[in-house]
Amino acid sequence: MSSNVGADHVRELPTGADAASPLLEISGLRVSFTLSDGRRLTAVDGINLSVAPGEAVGLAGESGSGKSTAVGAIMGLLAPNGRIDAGSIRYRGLDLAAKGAPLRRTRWREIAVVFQGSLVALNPVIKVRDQVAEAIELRLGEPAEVAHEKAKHLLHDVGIPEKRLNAYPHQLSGGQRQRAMLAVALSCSPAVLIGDEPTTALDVIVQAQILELLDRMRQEYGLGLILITHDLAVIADMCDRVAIMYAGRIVESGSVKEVFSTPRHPYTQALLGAAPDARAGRRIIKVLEGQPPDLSALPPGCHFAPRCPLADARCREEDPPTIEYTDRVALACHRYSLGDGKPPTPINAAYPTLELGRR
Amino acid sequence: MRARRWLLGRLGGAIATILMVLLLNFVLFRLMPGSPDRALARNPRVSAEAMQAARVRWGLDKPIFPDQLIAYVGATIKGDFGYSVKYGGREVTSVIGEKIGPTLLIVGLGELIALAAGIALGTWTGWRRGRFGDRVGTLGALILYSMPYFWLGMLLITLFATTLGWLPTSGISTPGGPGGIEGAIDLLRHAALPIATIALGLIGQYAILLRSSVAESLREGYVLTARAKGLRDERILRGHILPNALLPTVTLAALNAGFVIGGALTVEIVFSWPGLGLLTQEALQSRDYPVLQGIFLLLSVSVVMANLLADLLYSRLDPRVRHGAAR
Amino acid sequence: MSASASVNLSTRIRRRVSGGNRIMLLLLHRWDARIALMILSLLTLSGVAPEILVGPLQTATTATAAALLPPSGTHLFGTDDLGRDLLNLTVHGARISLVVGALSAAITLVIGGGIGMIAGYRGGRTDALLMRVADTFLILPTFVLALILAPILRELIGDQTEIFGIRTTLLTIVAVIGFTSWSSTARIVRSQTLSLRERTFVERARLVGLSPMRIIARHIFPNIRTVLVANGIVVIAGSILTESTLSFIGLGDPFQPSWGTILGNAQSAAAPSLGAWWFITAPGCAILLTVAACTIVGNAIDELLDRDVRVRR
Repeated sequence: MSSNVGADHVRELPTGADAASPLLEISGLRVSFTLSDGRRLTAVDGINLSVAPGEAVGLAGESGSGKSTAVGAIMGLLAPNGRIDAGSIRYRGLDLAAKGAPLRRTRWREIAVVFQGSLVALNPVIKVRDQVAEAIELRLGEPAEVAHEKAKHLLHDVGIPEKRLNAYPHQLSGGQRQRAMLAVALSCSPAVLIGDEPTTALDVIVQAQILELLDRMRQEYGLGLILITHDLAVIADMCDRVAIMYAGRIVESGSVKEVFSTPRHPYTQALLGAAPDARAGRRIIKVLEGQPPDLSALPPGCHFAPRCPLADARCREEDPPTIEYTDRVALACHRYSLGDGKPPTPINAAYPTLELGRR
Repeated sequence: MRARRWLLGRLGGAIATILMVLLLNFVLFRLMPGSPDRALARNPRVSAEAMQAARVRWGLDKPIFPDQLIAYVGATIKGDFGYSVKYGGREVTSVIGEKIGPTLLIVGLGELIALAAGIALGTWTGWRRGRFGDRVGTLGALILYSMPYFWLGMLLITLFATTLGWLPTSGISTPGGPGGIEGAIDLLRHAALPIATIALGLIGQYAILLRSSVAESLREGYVLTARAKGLRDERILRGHILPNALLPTVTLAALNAGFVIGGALTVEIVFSWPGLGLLTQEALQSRDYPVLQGIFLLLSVSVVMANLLADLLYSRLDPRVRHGAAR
Repeated sequence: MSASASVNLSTRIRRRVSGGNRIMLLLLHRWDARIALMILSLLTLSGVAPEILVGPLQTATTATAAALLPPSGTHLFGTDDLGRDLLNLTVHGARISLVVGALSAAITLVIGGGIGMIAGYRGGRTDALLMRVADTFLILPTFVLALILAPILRELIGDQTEIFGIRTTLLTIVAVIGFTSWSSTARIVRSQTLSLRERTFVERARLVGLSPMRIIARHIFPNIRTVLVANGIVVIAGSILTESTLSFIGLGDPFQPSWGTILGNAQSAAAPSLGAWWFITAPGCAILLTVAACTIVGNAIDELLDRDVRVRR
């Protein structure tokens, strides 16, 4: 751990704010795409998410739930046929979703992304060190030699061995590449780091190492971390808060402790009950049948209704509103009402179960 | 170590191919009815001594396999390509040698211009994939690609030389013309249209290749990363996309170096440009097989060499090939 | 037709119609392929029955007009240096290009396809040897090889015989183009065969004990048909270009002038210097349109095949 690099990167907190006020606040964000045959597909349908400095927020959901689209919207990197229909993305009071927002200024210097699939996200014909140095040189304006020195330190910091400092991406192992991607992401000392499935392609041991590295960087740099993954175990390990996403909506959010120990939304219950838990010796898993819906042809009502054991007629007609309770718990389900404002008692959704046989 | 073995393998392959070419050359010209010595005998212009010397050297009194073959291969390797029928027994090497220069001039310059313009056009259309500029550019490339080189040359002459009178219609220089700097300018004026023809003919390939390389690169993950870094478009294009997209172009350029000469032949005929092309036509008409054989060999060897060069260049430039994958 | 309706149409077509017909129908959806197919139909008509369009081929003796006349009401494309009507010559020239293109492509496909299938199926040393030979032919400039083979073949076969109404001079060109361009087809077929070889139905055939030849004929060949068609069209385009170049140089048949021969005549008559642009434009545009049309159709089929493969996966 080199300490001389650390000083540069400790971020000064905005004046008049304390450590708990959010860095990044997304409210009511709606993103849609126009397909080649003219139809509209709503990938993100009104989500709220916030990250405070030093806080780790997990965004969980299956593939196609809209997680990566949200990242695209935050960075202003949606595909040409996509656009932000509604909502705001406030970074330090600046709305990135508004027209004419200084997106280029915030990219990398304020918000950076560690992409999935590092072999693809890194340029194969350019040395890794140069890719780290590139942002330092061109975005921070440092002269080339200084940028290269800093790059070297960063790479060392994330655990790339000495002899691989001048390597090309294909010469590194999967884990090393992910570390290198992390170094690239940290090169301009951002305040918010978004990890889009950063450990998905890695084996379990390497995954643990990368997560530990992420955690260390978060503490060292005071980063706000958004961790996007379908792996709940990762979120359980790393995050303070979690938001569960389904078909473009956030169906439940709250502290990791609260949501994972007392899942309320039927989808959350299915997610948590779907994985065999090796440690707890759980051999009975809940089976969630069906497929995520076709976002370009959504029926009215709750997106989850077709697969939900608790669904009734109202669920199939009306969109459930998002109700916010105390302790920062939020739920979008007709079966739960506001009540006294405290997080309600969970209703058990009866899924078919499967007992894993003893062999 | 691995690299050296690969290199030796490639070299071996190239040599094997050249040997096959030699074999083909031998079979074609020796076993066919229009065999060289018969042609020589029919031609009154060749002196009796030259004919006798050729017979002895070629060992035409000995059996074809393996003696004649070995003699042929041996002679060729030593650089003895035989004697020209048409040019009264002059050595083929000298006949070919004096015509190479003009060909190299127009082919070399034409290729360079096509490369530069093709890369520019391809990058421009690839970046704008699907939009109007792309469609126009691709259509243009398709049209250029579908026409015979010589036709393009004829059109250019009709337009620029005859109708507009800007440039001379044929030849390499004005007869009895000036020397020195003015002579050089005169040469360039004569070379302009042939070079333009070759360049236009080649541009299509590079443009199409670059376009698909750039369009492909645009969808790659590292472009997304570069955008997320907040880099400007121009920087992304220059620093990230082009280094990737140019790799196959290098290979193509080296490969073309061998093939282009074939296309240049007809262009030379159209422009009466005194190079290998005209020589080939004359040799064809006068059944001057030794010369044809020599040209064929020269072209084949240059193509093989060009391929080898292309392989070498690519391996040097692409770090994935140069360093090999880890683990 | 609205965009979504046309998407549904093609899906419905895909399900109901099979094989080659389906590809034809899908092709017609694209505007560029439609134009290309129209051009090719015109070409085929001109090649098969030119007399219907312009009457019999004009020769030096039957030419009535003055030499080198620019286009006019009586002579739409003008006349050549012997007074022959260029429209007449161009339409008749289509036959040569059609025949040469088709025959050379046929030879190329047979040789290339055959060698490719054998090399791909047998593998090992046969494969390596065949591919080494193919590489040699691939590397040698087709054009130059053709240049050299043509006069030799002509001496062998002689000038006077006729097959299919085409003189042997042209047949030698056909043979030469066919024999020199097979290597890229062979490579393509070989890689297709390699991937087909691993499929279960081939395994089964092998286990049953069918001979390799039978396996190739019964199982492998039907599956590479569409690849051959797409490749064949591109080969036709290339052979038309090569033929025009060879004829231009003078290897063609003066009595059955192809477009290249006409251009060669133009060159000898110094048409460019004389400004006789019509002499040059008509046959050249014919070549251009035909080759471009073939390329468009060939690429379109290629893309359709690609999409099919991707969808199936």
